[in-house]
Amino acid sequence: MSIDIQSKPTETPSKDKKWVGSKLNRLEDKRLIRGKGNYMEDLKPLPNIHHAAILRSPHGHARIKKIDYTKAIDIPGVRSVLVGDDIRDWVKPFPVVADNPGKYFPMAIDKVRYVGEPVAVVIAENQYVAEDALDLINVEYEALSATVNIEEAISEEAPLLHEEEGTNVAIQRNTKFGNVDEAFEEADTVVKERVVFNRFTCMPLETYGVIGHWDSSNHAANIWCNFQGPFSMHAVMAKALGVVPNKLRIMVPSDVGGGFGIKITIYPYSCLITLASRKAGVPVKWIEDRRENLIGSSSGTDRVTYMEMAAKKDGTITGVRYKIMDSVGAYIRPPEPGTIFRPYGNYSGPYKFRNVELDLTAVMTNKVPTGPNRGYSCGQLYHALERTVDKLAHTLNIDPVDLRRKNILEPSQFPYTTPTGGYYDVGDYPAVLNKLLKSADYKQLLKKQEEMRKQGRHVGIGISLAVDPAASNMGYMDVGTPKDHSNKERPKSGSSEAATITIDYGGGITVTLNTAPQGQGHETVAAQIVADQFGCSPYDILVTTGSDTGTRAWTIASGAYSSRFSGTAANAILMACEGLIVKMKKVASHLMECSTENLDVIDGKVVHKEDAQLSMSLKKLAGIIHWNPTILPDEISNGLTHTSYFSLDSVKPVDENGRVNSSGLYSFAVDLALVEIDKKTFELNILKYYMAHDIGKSLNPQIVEGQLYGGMLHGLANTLYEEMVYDKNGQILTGTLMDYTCPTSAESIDLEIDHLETPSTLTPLGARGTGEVATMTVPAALTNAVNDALKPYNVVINDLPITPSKLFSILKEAEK
Amino acid sequence: MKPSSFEMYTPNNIEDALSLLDKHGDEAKIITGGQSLVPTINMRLATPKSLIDLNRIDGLRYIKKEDNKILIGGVTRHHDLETSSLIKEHCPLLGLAAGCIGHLAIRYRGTIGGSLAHADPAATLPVALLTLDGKVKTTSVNGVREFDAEEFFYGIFTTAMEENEILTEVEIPIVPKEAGYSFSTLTRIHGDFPLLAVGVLMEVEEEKIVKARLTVGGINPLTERIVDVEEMLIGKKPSDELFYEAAQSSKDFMEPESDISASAEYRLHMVGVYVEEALKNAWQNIGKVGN
Amino acid sequence: MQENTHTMNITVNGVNYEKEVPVRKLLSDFLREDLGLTGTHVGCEHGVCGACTLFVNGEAIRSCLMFAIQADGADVTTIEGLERNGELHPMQESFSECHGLQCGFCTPGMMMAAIDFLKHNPNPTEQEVKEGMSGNICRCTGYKGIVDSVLKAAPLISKLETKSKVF
Repeated sequence: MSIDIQSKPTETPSKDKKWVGSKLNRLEDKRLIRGKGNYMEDLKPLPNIHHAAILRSPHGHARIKKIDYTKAIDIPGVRSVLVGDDIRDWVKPFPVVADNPGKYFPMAIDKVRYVGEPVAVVIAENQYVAEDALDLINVEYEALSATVNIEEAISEEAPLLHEEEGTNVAIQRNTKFGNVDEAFEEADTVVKERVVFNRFTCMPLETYGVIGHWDSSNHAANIWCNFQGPFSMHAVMAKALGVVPNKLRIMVPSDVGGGFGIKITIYPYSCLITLASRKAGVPVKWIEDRRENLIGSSSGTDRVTYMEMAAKKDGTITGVRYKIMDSVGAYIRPPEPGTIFRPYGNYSGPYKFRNVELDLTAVMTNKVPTGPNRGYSCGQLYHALERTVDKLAHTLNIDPVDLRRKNILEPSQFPYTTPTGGYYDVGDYPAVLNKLLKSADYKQLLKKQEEMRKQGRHVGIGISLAVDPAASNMGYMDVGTPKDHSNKERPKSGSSEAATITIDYGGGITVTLNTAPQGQGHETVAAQIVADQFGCSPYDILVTTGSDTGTRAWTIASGAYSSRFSGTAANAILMACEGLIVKMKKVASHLMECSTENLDVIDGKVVHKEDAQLSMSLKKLAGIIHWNPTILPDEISNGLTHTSYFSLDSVKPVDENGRVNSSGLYSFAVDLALVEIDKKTFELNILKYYMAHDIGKSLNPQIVEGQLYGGMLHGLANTLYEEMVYDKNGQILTGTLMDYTCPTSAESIDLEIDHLETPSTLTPLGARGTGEVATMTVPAALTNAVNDALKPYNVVINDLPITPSKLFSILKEAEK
Repeated sequence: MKPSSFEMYTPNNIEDALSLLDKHGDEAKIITGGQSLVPTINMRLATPKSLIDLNRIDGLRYIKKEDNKILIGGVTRHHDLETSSLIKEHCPLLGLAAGCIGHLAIRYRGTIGGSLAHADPAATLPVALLTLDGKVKTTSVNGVREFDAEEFFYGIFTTAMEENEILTEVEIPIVPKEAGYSFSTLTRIHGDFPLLAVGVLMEVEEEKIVKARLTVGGINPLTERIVDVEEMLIGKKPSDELFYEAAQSSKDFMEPESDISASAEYRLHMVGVYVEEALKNAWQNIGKVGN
Repeated sequence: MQENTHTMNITVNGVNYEKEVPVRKLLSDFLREDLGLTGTHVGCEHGVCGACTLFVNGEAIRSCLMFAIQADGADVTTIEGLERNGELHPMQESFSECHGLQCGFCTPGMMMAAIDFLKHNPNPTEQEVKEGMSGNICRCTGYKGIVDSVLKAAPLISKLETKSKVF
């Protein structure tokens, strides 16, 4: 029995059906199911690669008095040891948008500020020997008191992480939109809520990997790493390493074992390993181990939010005040403090209210520096917003669904500009909500809940809404630019991507991207798009992903993050196809002696519109262009390669009122959960989980479903299972997978998913983002459902993760 | 995360293994399944100078019946226990306890000797051994020693074993067909280390409990039977009320601590829930041994 | 410090090798570095994630918890050995058809564990698959595609002639 999966798609589009939108099995799978992937650890791109092991701080906060590595360097096989003193003259701090950021270098120089901070790097002939040497490095520390709690770290008494700054608050911004104070003064009801979001990490199965090669003859750095973009970090790295941009080459292999945001913040390690190469004079490879990953990579921020919501008696929300405090860890590492700014344009979510106050603070604590984590700061945002909406519903004794229906944007309001600058192009949010309510049979569900409650069961229904931002605006960070620094001279904007397509002499099509995907199926979707344009099979198309800034077309925004492929790269690919088609039509019109306007591309052929007999295959045309260019008219250039750049026009710089459309595209999602708290064990059983989305055009429904399930798992993980726990000295208590417990197949849940496709008006293919949305809705829906279950007992739980142990304490307290 | 250097010895017979162990003393560690040991070696939390691998010794991996006992070789795998028909027939609780250990890939490698000698307070096999009134045989160059389960465990990761000893055999008395049994664990996620493990063995004659053995693991530093509660059950007629009371009384013998997984109060509560459930299950299982 | 080595003999995917190997080298590292079989992925090196799962003498074990020299004389099958005579194993086909993988990093270990699971339970329910596969962590799929893949592969594997079964 043999099935060639390449020739057996789940669905075969017919003539009038396109590959785009079909459930095409993935092209990537062919190598991955055979164990022939090409991951960072598999690479040996240069001879004489040495291996690095990193000595890390055992202290949450300490001064480095002395480092003695004489014994380590004596071990046979050890080539060199890099310490903080070595890099003083080689690097500049990473540039940051913040008022009091402290100085962040690739490794500790005078002080360590979190457990796991790199203190020394051993470079040896293999990993085993490198780790032997770590054991022989003697570091003398003077331990200092640490601060790990957000609200304590802000206080005057807190130990300072960066003494020169005089505060642990890296950045604080307070901005009002509309007439917030008036809205609160005139409100019939004001509800207040404090919610706490836990610190958890992406935990991709593949850890960080870097091969750094310092080219001393050119003062250049060649770096292979499993970076996921954005390539704006290229600028951050070039500045830190003191190289001009064209002398920093970043290469990402075709296969990256998951990212979910964490591989954005690999770049300090990319720099560190390159500095190790500079010291050792050989290329250096470092594969992070799982312990390092859990203590020293990155995580999402833990956040405390104080919410205030003003409303009329009838439930109309009139204003919202957010007081957000994020713990960004020991350093503020770009793209942080993006955590407080990334959803700038959608702080009002899917709702109509126009009066918003944002009080946003990023606080430094003795924990690992944070960074994007699937849904970057939106899980936090909607957890707080949707909890407060539920509290308002509870206070006014209005059904939570009815309250939301009253406040969500109407289709007639689109295109809609939010009070903070977000631009929602088109949508029918009530229709999506209705779709969900219908699938869930909401009224019946309420009755069922009532019956179960009568049986004494702790049953709850929770709903959450989210506007999911995708394709981040490269300019959103400018809202954080210090007020005395005018950013008018160099405003930033855009969310762009590049694609190059080449057709070879045999008609073979190669797509070259710089999108550095980590499993999102870019090769497949690119092939679907191209196949539709040229009328060929997607399986005949070669798509090269990963990245190479030295040889490929790329943009500052390139990469696979913020759910951006379907709204950016997909369009660049489409445009590159169009560019080639224009050229091929020109050649055909010359050869066929007709006007290009009379030509169409159908089924791999250029065909005359009025005479189908008159046609030329693309293969033949490509052959002529490559083999016989002299017959082409002068105005047609040689070759068949086209590079296109696409940027979303709607993502402009910050405006004069401090508003910004922080993302290019916004999907809409509604989740509903039915849960039960076990009365004996206090475990949470998720009985039913419904989702409805409008993600615009779905380019590959199978991949979309995979993304929704994957996002759900991250949401489930942070809501119920995962937390990075630190003690008061900054010791991390979850440094292995034995302590940091990830949900397995046994904990995962089934979803009932509905879609409403309203194509985006901003992208030629009509697609928006989908990869992160479930991480935004799941924590809020589950927390609301649990609190609905707790409602008869008049208690609430607003801090994640919601564990059986916490539910036990709360309900026992309620019994008293 | 790579091990430091060591020497590995792979003796083919127990005599060689014992003399190697005697020679290297505390610088050597025995390795069989390695499922607990190798992670600590990879993390360099353990840096033994030598490992003595018992996997190539014939005659240490067996499950056999002798008289009214089941004898199990020290290098018998958890998966062997889980699937053995002899164990299913004569002491099914042990098979259940083995089946609760991690995942299949771990149970293929992990051994009964390794688990008992490691004496992790959260492990399931010590709970089973205590509940089943088993014995442990250890062997050194000086000869064989035999321990009742109660004498064997000293506390967290400590047992009665000397450094030059190997756990060579486990002996489990055959459980009468009339007995009832139960084994259960509480974990944070499926297959994770238990927060709590409960084993119960019960015999009832003429509607009265004549024998009860109850062990709770995962809470106290030393896993022990709760003899006071066992005595409370004996002579009584099984009933939901009795089991509830017994479960509540069990909590008096537990000293849980709070950690990142759960509060002490929650653990204590769950002792009550699990013991009650285990007693009920054992009662419902009466007469089902071997079926 | 001289690296302590032993000579070992091992059969991997039907090919016999004699190699001198550092005593402390993990089986996973040996396969990847010494034999170039990079399909076996290393995800945690402490036996939790399951990414490095492969078959040693017919049992799916975690290769990060075994020293290479402990596999002296053993018959090992890695992901690279699943395809036989140009024919994919049904598990490989099912994973692709049911979108059982995204980044592909957990996939080799996941498929090995799945084949082993079906050996013990050739006709499982969905719930049994969920519990039986819980020893392998995936962060991409939410496990949905994986569970579907295993359910789809089960009857296909049962139908395979014994000689074409991997184990």
